[in-house]
Amino acid sequence: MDNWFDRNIPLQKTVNELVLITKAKRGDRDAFGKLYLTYLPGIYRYIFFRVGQRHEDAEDLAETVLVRAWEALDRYRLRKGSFRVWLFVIAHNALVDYYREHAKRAIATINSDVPDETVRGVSPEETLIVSDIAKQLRRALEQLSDEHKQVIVLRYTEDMSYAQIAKITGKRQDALRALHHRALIALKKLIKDI
Amino acid sequence: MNMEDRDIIAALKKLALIQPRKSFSARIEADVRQLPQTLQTSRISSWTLLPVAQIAIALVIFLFITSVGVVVASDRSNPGDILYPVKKAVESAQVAVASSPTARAILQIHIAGKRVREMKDVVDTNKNSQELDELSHEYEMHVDQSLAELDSASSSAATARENVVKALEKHEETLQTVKNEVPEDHQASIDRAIDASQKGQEAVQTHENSDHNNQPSQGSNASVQGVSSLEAKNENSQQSHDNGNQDHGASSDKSTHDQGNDKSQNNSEKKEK
Repeated sequence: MDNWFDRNIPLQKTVNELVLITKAKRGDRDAFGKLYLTYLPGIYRYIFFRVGQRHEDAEDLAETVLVRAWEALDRYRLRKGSFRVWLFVIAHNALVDYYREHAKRAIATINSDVPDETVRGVSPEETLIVSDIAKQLRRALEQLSDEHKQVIVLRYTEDMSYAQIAKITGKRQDALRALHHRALIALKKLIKDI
Repeated sequence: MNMEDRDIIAALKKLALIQPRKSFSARIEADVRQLPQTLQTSRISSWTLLPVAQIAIALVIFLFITSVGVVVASDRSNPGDILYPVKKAVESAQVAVASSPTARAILQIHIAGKRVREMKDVVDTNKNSQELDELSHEYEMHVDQSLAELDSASSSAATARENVVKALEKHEETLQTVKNEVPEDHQASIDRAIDASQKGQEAVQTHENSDHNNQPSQGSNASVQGVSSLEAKNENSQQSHDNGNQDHGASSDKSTHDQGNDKSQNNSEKKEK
């Protein structure tokens, strides 16, 4: 239906999300499921890059985030920020617990064949190009410190503002900007060395 | 920023193409269905609802202040009209602030009735069938949502169920009239809506037959009456627009109850809460 409301995607998304959040807080699992699935790709990627790019570990943690978010839903307040950022905070805290329980493993070796199912919506020719660059970049990312990796992934892959990243990581925005600058320098150096 | 930084950043953004494995998304859907019921699911306090209610009320007040007639006028709007999005936003806000499953059930059936009126208007003005199809889908969705709310309402919400059935009967009546005016190739949309109305009536009546000993409680009636006054306000704004098609059973004078739809009793889809 071509009308102002349907064209005004941000407003439509906000109203729809408000309704889903209200329903989820009343115990509607379907509504909560829809919300979580909307943000799952970003949550998954955030975890994925911080657990050595291992799908199994990322999936386990993403499930943990689902359960923790459901249990904490009663404490979620709209005035405290967006639902998406709230989920990322839970993911961040789950990763802190993960690191506490597991010693950080050796830098993961990335398969030479990137599974096609993890790269969707890309043409076959583009997949080849993306894969080569992506593999190089992913190797370099994996060698970054966790702090650097976090700010790079949240800023560019998840397209977050410094304000949002500050809420997730608990760091100040000025500190994040400095961290971001150092992270890019470190990443460039790693890419050159690969 | 030099070229190198731009290339790296572009490549970083492309990492957003990485998605969870399809099998994992399915696993998450299964996990969601098994999430435990928590204390929060039994009752939500008004304080918890307050921020959402504040936003919803603020939206309505803002619209009221900007123009007293906007919200009222929007209620008469149809798909394609400039105020139609306002109408839908107000409907969403009303559902968000409704305090009980019974109230939400009545609201949803009231909104479903609006979709029926809109279908009639679309046909009267010979608009395209795509809108009919979308309205029919929305009608079906609101009926389903009303039934789902009734399912989670207490067994003493008999009056609400009765009102929902009456409303659905009215919808079916109007839809049959609309069907007679619609060209044959547009009738599938109307048939879908009629089917949804009939199935809704069966579902509620099946529920009533199994709970025929329950008496409506004071609380249930109070919430229904509260919504009835809301409907009365909306009805007043609709008087000049509506050619007598009323969908809120609370004010219906219809005393005869047609139980002649002897179709096989198919269970309605119960949405898990």
